[in-house]
Amino acid sequence: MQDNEPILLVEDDEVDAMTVRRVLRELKVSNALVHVTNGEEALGYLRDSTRPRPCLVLLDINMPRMNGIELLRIMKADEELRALPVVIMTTSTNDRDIIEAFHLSVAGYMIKPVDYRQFVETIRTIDTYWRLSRRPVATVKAASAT
Amino acid sequence: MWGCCYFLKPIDWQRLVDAIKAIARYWQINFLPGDKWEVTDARQ
Repeated sequence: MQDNEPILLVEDDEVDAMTVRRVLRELKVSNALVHVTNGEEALGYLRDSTRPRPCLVLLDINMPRMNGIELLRIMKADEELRALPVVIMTTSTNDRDIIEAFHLSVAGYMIKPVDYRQFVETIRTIDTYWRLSRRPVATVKAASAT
Repeated sequence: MWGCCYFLKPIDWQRLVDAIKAIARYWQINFLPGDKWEVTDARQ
């Protein structure tokens, strides 16, 4: 995860989006936050080659027009997008959603904490983990070029 | 299909410990299908 790459937040709830923005500011995460409100908008952003590719996608599940699982299914079937790390952030503890998300190779499934301090700790944990990891897109491109 | 991540093992001991703690913490707060697991420090 590089500082100059944006984080894509796919979230229809304005309050939750504001909370994520506030937490990232508190944690001094310098990556830009791109916020879209449903899967369709997210796909439009991700397939627009003039937009910077995000280093991480934080994805809600229950959204209008195209929900998070539908977006995930499309992303994982798309060679250009399948390597992007997607972390689900949702209120859904539905087993079917959890199992389907992991079958679609999701990189994490987090329940949105109600408590703000817990929200901070969840985002801090995600940020630390993805800063440790090597960037997958670069790895995939390098491997396919040889 | 890629689903997780790729870590380079730090040479420095403390950085290795910190990395493993961060990985463990990440997967502890994840909702996984099936049972949750716990991390214990065998030195304690």
